[in-house]
Amino acid sequence: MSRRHIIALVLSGLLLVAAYLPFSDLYELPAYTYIPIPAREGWFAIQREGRPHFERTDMRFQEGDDARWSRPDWDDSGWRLIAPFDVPSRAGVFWLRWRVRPAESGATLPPGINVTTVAAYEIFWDGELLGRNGMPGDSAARETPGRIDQIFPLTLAQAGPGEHVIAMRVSTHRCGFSNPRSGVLVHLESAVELYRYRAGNAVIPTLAAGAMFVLALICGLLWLFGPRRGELAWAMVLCAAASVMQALPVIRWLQNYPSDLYHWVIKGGAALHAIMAVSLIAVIARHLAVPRLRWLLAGSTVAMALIAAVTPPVRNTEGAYMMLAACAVVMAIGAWAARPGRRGPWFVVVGALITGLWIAVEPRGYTWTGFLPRFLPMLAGATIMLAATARREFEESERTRQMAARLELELLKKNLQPHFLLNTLTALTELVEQRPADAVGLIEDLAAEFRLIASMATERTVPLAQELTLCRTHLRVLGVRTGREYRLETQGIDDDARVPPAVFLTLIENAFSHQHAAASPAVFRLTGETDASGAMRYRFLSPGEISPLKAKTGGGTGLRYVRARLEECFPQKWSLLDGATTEGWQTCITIPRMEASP
Amino acid sequence: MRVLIVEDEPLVAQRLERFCREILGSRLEGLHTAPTFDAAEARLAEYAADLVLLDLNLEGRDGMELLQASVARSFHTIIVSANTEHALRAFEFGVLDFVPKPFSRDRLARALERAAQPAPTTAGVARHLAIKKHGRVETIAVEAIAYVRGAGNYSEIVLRDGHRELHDKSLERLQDILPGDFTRIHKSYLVRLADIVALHAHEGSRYDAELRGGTFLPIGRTRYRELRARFA
Repeated sequence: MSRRHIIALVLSGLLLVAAYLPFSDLYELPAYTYIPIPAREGWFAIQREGRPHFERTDMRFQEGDDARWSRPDWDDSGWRLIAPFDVPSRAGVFWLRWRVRPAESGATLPPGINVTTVAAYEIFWDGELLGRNGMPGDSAARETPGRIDQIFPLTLAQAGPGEHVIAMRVSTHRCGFSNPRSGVLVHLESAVELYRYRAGNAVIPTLAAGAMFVLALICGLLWLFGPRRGELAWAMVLCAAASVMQALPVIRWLQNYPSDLYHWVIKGGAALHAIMAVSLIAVIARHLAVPRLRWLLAGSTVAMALIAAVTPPVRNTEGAYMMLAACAVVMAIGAWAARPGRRGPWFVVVGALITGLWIAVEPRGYTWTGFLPRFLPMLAGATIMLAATARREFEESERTRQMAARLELELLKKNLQPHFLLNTLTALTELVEQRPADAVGLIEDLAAEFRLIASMATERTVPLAQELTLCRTHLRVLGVRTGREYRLETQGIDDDARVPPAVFLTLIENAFSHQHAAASPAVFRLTGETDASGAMRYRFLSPGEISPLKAKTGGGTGLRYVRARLEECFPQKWSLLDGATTEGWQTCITIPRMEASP
Repeated sequence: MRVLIVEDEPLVAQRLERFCREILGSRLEGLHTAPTFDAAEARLAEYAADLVLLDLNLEGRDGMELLQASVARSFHTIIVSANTEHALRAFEFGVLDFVPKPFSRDRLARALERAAQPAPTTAGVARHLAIKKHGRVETIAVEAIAYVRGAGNYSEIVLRDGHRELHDKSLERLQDILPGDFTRIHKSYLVRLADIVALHAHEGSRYDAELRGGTFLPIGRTRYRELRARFA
């Protein structure tokens, strides 16, 4: 995984945090407090964020079905008191009744009712049908399922002063859960507040679903087109499952699916959490090279199935417990893998600890709207661990590459420079004894060449003009040695363009090592042009017949030096193609245009 | 002595030529220069050289390939090269000397004098012999040689496994390059001393050397006394 990949992952994580913070309280209704009213038995004062909101009685329950039970004056004192989460499942039609009134005399009630339940019902306000959600029936066949969440606005006249009676005719044949008890959650609020609550509940899951989808896509593409690292594939599975899992509440709050599908949604959410938990363990274990990974994953899968089996389904907490278990396993793996000089696993331990503690404290809030904030520490820890690993790998790769370049350079010095120098000195000894004046000229050229090489030795790139001067000086030295004339002609060359040092010099050396000399004057040609992408393309022609050795090796040490230099200066952004032509050997180098010193 | 200089740099070739003339003087029977190995081959087809001064770094040619092709021939080879990393290998393949560049007159003189001596002044160190076979050069390990028999201008190399190979070099020239424990027991036989297990004297002043493996080779009358002294 390259540094760019890691940066993309880190930015995605930061984006999630940035997206969460402004909306963190959107999905919460205001805090309500229930205070018994001593003077009125069975009545409670409801405070909203510490202020009087309205007053209500306990809910009363009656099995059976009678249209008169909606009337406000019906005497329900003989009905059984019941808690909102204790209504029966699959028990025919039953009625619920309770009373409400404004907190102060002359005031009005909040003009809206929100009902959340997996049931079909009709709701009456002071005996009048306020609305229905599906159609209750005395059997599953006769019951038409409603939607989970429903808002019933009240007019000002309906919500006016005085006591009001709310009655609900309910059936729960299609609730789907095996639990014998079901629930009916009712809030009186302004319609604006209720709609804000609904939209707020959709915001975080929408962000989470989108972010997880993007992360899954990034991981999948990195795996598909990158080095095919297993943890990337597992991360893709993890993020894809999280994305689908978070899409479920988005559909609920934006599309409001039929209530009889809700138990399937819960089961689907649990299954997705099992996938997420196993994938999370796989990502970390794979990255930290845990032995016997298959056994670990098989054991994790069994553990998730057990959690699903023993957790009461109605509470909707299987996912929380699964992620809690996954965090515990991840912490154990991270602690096992951490050692001196390898700090990355500690980040994932800390991330898993925060996520695990948060889920343990608030398991019920985790599954839907609370998933993203709780999962972020785990995600951040894993991302930092990946980044730490990638940084270490990048540094090692960089060190190896630089060492390789240096080794190539050393090799070049060993193989080429001493040989060139010794042969030149041999020619020089003859000149000194026979033609001293010519010997002085050769010494001056040789000195100029070594000065140029010395000035370039520590540079990553040099101006092309300097490189060409070096090449021409070198050709003059060789000309004296071999008794031939060599020229270097250029066309379309920008003297200020920058190239790695001694690249074209090496191509000339290669020509003398691997080609038969062309007839004097032998002309080397360098042409430059800009290609369609704006990169510089240099064509270097070395004259002379190609030796069988060059045809076999393609240039050997010298060309490896050129390639190492190009990679050092233009990582992954250069190309070198070479081959025989009718005139000699042509080398085509394409590099990004660079006119200023990097 | 007939000398061929194979050198592609004219200044160096000129220097070698000048020194050869100065050092060998009247002993120099002929001197030619070739800038490439192919040109040298053409020259050798019509010119029987005794000594070739060879540069290993001829344009576009593999130095070791040149070396093996050269030492397989009848003439002696002296390498004159800046590629000193090849020196050890060159000696192992039977070159007479390796003169590193840049060279002085004295250094070249030592090499030429060695080639001009009728008998070897120092032992060779060859560990392989290159032979021309079916148009290409092959090498045989010196360790595998049982003995060498002179065959006119050529030599017949008898290997321990019984195979026989012809070498272009004369027995004298092979003795120059083979390790010191190869000794002449007869004008036509070169044997490794360690392989002789017994000396036999016969009537009529005839002598044999019994080699490991049961081969009997004749011993020259004058060389018998030297051998007997060594075995005493």
